[in-house]
Formats: sequence, C-alpha cells, structure tokens
Amino acid sequence: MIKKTLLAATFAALPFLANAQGYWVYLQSARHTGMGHVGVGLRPDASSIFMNPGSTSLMEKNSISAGVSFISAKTAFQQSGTTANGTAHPVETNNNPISTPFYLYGVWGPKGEGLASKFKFGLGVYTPFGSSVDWGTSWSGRAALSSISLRSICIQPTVSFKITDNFGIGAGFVYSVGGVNLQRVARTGFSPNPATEGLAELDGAANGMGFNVGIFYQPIKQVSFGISYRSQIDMTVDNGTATMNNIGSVSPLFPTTSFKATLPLPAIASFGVGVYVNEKLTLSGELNYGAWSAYDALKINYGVQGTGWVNINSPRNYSDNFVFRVGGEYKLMENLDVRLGYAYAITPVPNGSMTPETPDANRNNFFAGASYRIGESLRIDAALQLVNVDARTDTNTETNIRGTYKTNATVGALGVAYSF
Amino acid sequence: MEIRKKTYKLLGLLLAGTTFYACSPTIDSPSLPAPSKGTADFTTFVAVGNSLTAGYGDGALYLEGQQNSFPLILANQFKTAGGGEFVQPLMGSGNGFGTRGTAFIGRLEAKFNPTTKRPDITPTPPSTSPLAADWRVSNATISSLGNFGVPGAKVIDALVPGYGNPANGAGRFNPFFTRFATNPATSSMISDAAARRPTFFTFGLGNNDVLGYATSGGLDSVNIEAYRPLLTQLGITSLPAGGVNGKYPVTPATIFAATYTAALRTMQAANPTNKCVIVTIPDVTRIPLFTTVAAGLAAAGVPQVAYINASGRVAALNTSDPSTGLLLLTAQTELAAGKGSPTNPLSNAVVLDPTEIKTCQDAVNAYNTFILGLRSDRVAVFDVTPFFARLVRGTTVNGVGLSSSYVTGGLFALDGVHLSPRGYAMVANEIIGTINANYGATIPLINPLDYSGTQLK
Repeated sequence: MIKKTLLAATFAALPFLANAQGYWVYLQSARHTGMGHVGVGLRPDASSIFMNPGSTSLMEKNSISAGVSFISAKTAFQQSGTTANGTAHPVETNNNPISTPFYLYGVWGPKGEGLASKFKFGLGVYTPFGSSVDWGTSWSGRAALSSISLRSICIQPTVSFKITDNFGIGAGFVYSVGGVNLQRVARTGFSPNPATEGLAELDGAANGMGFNVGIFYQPIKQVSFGISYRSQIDMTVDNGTATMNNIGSVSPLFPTTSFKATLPLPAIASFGVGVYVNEKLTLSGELNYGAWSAYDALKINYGVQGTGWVNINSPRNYSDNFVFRVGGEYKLMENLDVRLGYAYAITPVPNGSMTPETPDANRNNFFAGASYRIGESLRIDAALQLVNVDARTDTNTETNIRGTYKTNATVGALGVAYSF
Repeated sequence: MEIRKKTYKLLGLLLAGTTFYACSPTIDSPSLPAPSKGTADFTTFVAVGNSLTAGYGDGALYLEGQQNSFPLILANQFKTAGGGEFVQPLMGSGNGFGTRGTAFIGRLEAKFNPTTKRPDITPTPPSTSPLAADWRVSNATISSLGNFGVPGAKVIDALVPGYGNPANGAGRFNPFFTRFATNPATSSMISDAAARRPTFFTFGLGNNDVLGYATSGGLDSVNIEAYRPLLTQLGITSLPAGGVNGKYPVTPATIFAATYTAALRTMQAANPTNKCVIVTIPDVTRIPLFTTVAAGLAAAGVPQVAYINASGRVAALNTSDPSTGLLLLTAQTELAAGKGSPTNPLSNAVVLDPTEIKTCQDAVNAYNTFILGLRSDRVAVFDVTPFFARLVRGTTVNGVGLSSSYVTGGLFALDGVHLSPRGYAMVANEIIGTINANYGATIPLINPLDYSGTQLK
C-alpha cells in the first residue's frame, strides 16, 4: 500500500532541458554574425546553405567555408522574498562551460552555360541548437536542474536552382544527430537518513530530421529579397539511460533504466531584405518567426514503470516569437570589410515557464565583425556578439522556483572561406 | 595603413571590454522591507493548542518534534520584530512518549525495506513515561512557559480545572498537561496560559473534538455529561439533542462554540490589547491516516474490500472511491492477516464508513463556520482548508515535491495525523502570512526545505 504511494509521489516531474531562445544558436557564419546574423535576404556565400538555400544557386563561384564560435554565457539568479532573517537572498551564478558551435559548408555547381550550370549542390554541417548550463549541485534550485548539455549537429545536403539570373530556389534535407545530458539533484519530500541528496542523470543520443527551403529574388541591382523556412525537427531520444546516484537506502527504487523523450527544435520562417547602397556599403534587415508553440511540454517516459522513476510531463507552453535583425557591411579597404549589427529577440518563454535551463527573456544583441581577404579566393572572418538578456522575475508554475534571472553572454566567432 | 591600425585598435578594445562582460551579470538589489511587527506585539507570545501546537509527531511527543514545533518556529521569526524568549516544556532526548492502544511507545520509525521496497514502520521503546520521576518539567520552565500545547486536548478540556490531576484517576486527566500545569490539581490549560498575560497568542484547538471518533473508526465518543460542572458555569444547563447518556460521537457544535468562545475570551481578557491567530480544523478524513491504505489497494489492483459497518453488517468499500468508506492505517495489519473478503471482513474499528465520514465532515464544517465568524481587529484566522487542499493536491518548494502523501509527501508524521518538521514549517509560514496580512507586519518567512521531511531510514 505504502509502496505505491511512495512510488507515485517521489520523483514527480524530473524536468529536463532546453535553452529556449538560447537553444537557437544563431551562429552559422562568422561573416554574418558580424552584421547581426542577417543573411536570408542577402546575396549568397557558402553559408546560404543554412541561411537561404534559394540564394545558393546565384553564387558566382564554388566555395567552402568553415568556422567556430565560442559562447561564454552566465546567468545570475536571486530568489524572491527574504531569507528567514529578513535579508535578501544571495545571488547565485551558474558556471557554464564555453560552448563551441561550428559550421562547415561546401557549394559546387557545374560552370559554363546550359541547364546544368543553373544548379548548385551543397552540403552543410552546422549546429543550430545546443546549450550548456551548469548550476552545480548545491544551488537553491538544484531539485529542478543541476546541469544540462544539449548538442545537435545538422547535416544538410542541398540543391539550389537558378530560375533566372536574379531568381533562385533551393531545398535541403536536414538530418540532425545529437544528444542530451541532464542532471538534477533528487531532493525528496521525505528525508533519507543519512540526509543524502541523490543525483539523477539522464543521458542519451538523439536524432531527428527536417528540411530547409528558400527563395531568393533580386529585382534590381540595389535590392534583394529572401524567404526561408526551416522545418521543425523533433529530436528524439529513443534509448537514453537514466541513472540515480547516491540516493541512500531507497536506491532499490531507482534501478538504472532507459528513457524516451522528444524535444522539438521549432520551425523558423524568415524574411530578409538586402540593400546595396553603393560599391562599398551593404545593408540588410531580417525577420525571423520561430514556431516555439511546438514546445508545449517536456515529456520523458522511463523504461521501467512502477518504480521511483515517475514519467515526466512538465508544462512549457512556449509562444511563437519574433526576432528582428539589422546589419551592415562596409568595404573599408580593398582587403578589409567591417560590419555592425543589432538584433532584438522577443522571448518565447511565457510567464510561469521560466526555468533554470532556459532563463530566457527579451534580448538585445550587438554585433561587430570584420573580414580580411587574402588574394582573390581566401577570406578570413571574425566577429563579436554581446547578448544582453533582460532581467526577468518569474515564479515557475510547476517548481515554484521564484526569483530574478539575468543573463549576459559574449560570443567570439572565427571563420574562413575559400572560393574557386 | 593608418585606418587599418585604428581598426585593429578598435577591435582590440572591443575584445578587452567584452572579455569581462559575460562574467558579470548583475541583479539590482530588491528593496525589501525590514522585519516589523505592524500592529501586533510579540513581546510575550503564547501558543494554546493540542498535539499540533506541542510539536507532537510520529506517534509520540519527543524532543526533536518539539524543537521544530510551529510555535517555536514562529517565536524565532517574531524575534526579528521584537519577540521575546519562548519556552517549551521539552522532553529529554530520546524516543519520547506516546501511546498505541494501551501500550506505551516511543516515536515511530520508518525503515526502507529493500525486499518489499516499502518502508516498514515500527514503534521504538519509549524513553520516558508519566510514571517517571522527571515527567514534570522544572519550575523555571513552568513559570516562563510559552507553549501550552497539550496532546489530546479538546476545546472543552482546555477549560477544565485539574485537567492534569493524576488524582482524578486513569483516563480522567491528561498526563501531558500534568507535565507543566502550574498546579495539576487546580490549573486549567487556559488559566495557566492566560496567567502569562500574552501580548500575542495562537489558538489551535478543536481537532480532537472530532479526531477521537475518526481515528477509532467511529467507535469513540465524547462524554459531554462528564463536563457537567464546567458547562453549568458556562450557563449550559441542557445538553443538545443527539446524545446517548450524554455521549456524542463528536463534540456538538453548540458546545464547541460555547467552550471555544469562553477559552478565547479568557485569553483575550488576560491582556486587553493582545492580538491572536486562531486556526480552523482540517477535513480530518483527508489526512494520510485515512487516505493511504485504500489508495494503495486501488493502485495494486484491488478494487473492493469488505468490512463490518457500524450496524454490524458486512459492507463493501470501493478502494478508489473515498465516499464509500476510508481505511485506517491500522487496516494494514488486518489486510496482511487475510481479512477484507465478504466472508472474512475487516473490523469496524479500521474503517470509517460513509455515515461516519459525514459525521466528521459535518462537525468540521460547523466548527469552521463558527471559527471563521470570530474574525475581528484582534482575531486573525488562519483558514487551514485551502492550505490543506493544496497539500492534498501536492505542491512544490524550489522544485521539491511536497504533499499529504504518507511518508513520501514529506509533510506528515509517520502516525498519519501529525506533521513532520517540514510540515510544521509550512504551517508556520501560513501563520506568518496570516499575521502579515492582518496586522500589517512584515515577519520574514522561513524555507520549509531547511526543516527535515518525514524521516525514512
């Protein structure tokens, strides 16, 4: 009798992951990062495989490019209310490892005249989603999350077709592989003796698939437009491993078991405009619409039932969101381009859904970057991005974690591109 | 070239500036009110009540429970706003003292059994008893006492002079009051508590007016006739209808109201400017003592059990429908012995049948309607009902799940009636909230997770 009660109530709702807005890692090209990560409506380079496959076919040359970014992000958290003494709670800060999203693109097409020359073929390998958050095992919200690491690598073979010299369409198939590692401290209602706190760890490989399509049109020399749509990718963990460590006397309730989970990487529709003011100055604006409402709940089902592992169904209730981007590129010298950009992202996380894995709020992003060309074919790109996430106070409706979150992040990006 | 140098310099500055950016997210310090007492005065705080006020738990009164009683937690918080020392009639260290049937026991212990994967709950030996020489606390404690919680006391008991007098004979006095009554032969709980002239008090009586009946499966009764002299003093000369030889299943609502009023008014008169928080009675039929066993059977695929009802007939209880009857924790022993079938039904004593449930709930509703009506400038009411409903549904504190579930919920004691330290901490927070809302005070709340949940070895 007691057994069943024990099972059901013990570990209700192990929440899990996802760095919401933050799990969009919009760092798919060091060049574009320098100018607000606009790219959908701009004349293409190899990164158009990600940005807008419709524009890829309009590339004059074949090209390969590669790059890596370094994200350093930190979140401070302060519980609402007071301590028992009536003083403010101490500010707690997470200690996230630097994450390094990367990209690699190759675009090739037959040269010359004829139908074949209207095609460009490409392959992109990039990391559009991922996060790494580590709050440690002694902070106040450790029962909700200790650490989360979410990785995804997308592999996208792409075909782009040039209908006319100023109008292109393209499509790519996206296969995503990755994994998740989630750790949370198993704090219980009851007090085990000795008073230990267990650590639950969920680890698993995930994969999913989707597509990326786009249209690009440049009616006049000075203006171009682009529309792209990246479909939702359901990252599915089919056979993860759940383990419980150091739970003391009740460890027989937590045999190591498998788990299944699905995390949606939401669809993104984008519209962009490029304006070529003169030979030196290019400006661009872009709007992204993220279909975050796909993330309504986090669900995890364990392989064994009727133990201390209780399936998770944590409400998330995210909303679709908009991101506004503007940026410009200026050819300062023959070999040197400099860039600036700005983006404002509206958070998809509604009130009541703030979690330590996704301490999101509206974001101001500031970008700067430069490229240096060596000869005709080689270009080296560097960019910096500052992310200023608004301070936000919320009470999570599931965990009742109440407090204020404030996140800053710095991103450095380096890339190289070669045309032939 | 000059421009290039400048660009590099600019980039260098940007890099240097941004290196520290991510390291320093800052949160503006919130403006928090300093702890304040509002219109209340916590100089002399007194807690009047029953076992819940005493810090009773796990089937016994023992030191660790007392050290986490909600009045003590309150008193510690009151100290941030002018509150004074708060003295409790502490037991010595050890398992403490309680009774199970006629047996003397110490605190219950829950030990996880790896074979059955459920906790085994067993009593420990008592570390003291009313027969022990040091049963009574020291005179110094008695003269400065703050916690007047007496396990087992009904509202009417609190008014009875000599309620702690062993000379009355077994069953006619309360040994827990004997421990600290100023004069066991003549003191009443209320006369002693009022003598402290409290500037602030909590008043938490009434649970036992229905619990005795409920926890005996509807067998126990309240002998109102035995209180005849006290009732006469209160101007009650005839007993209400529904009694048999002066005995009622639960305290009749009119008697409850009259005695509650007399006790509360005496406490208020002891210090004409004092303020208080009074507490309503939870629906006793939803405590783990009554909800655990049937839910466990239902989860294990046993839809029905048979029992003998109050009329002596065999009746069926649907384990997933509490309105068809409630199984007490004590039903486990009978179930383990093979009882529960129509030919071998559970005994009347381990089941609260639908009629008995209604008797309990009607009484609690009547008591609470009365208590809620006492609200005034000097009387704030902590209404337990919505709070308790939240615990039944289950709640979370900083991501830790807490509920009224037996053992795993963490809030109830192993006896299924009283609370764990964490449960008492939740109650203390609710009372602080009531004080802050009613008396304009800003007493800081405590974190229930700083207090031990139901202990599982």
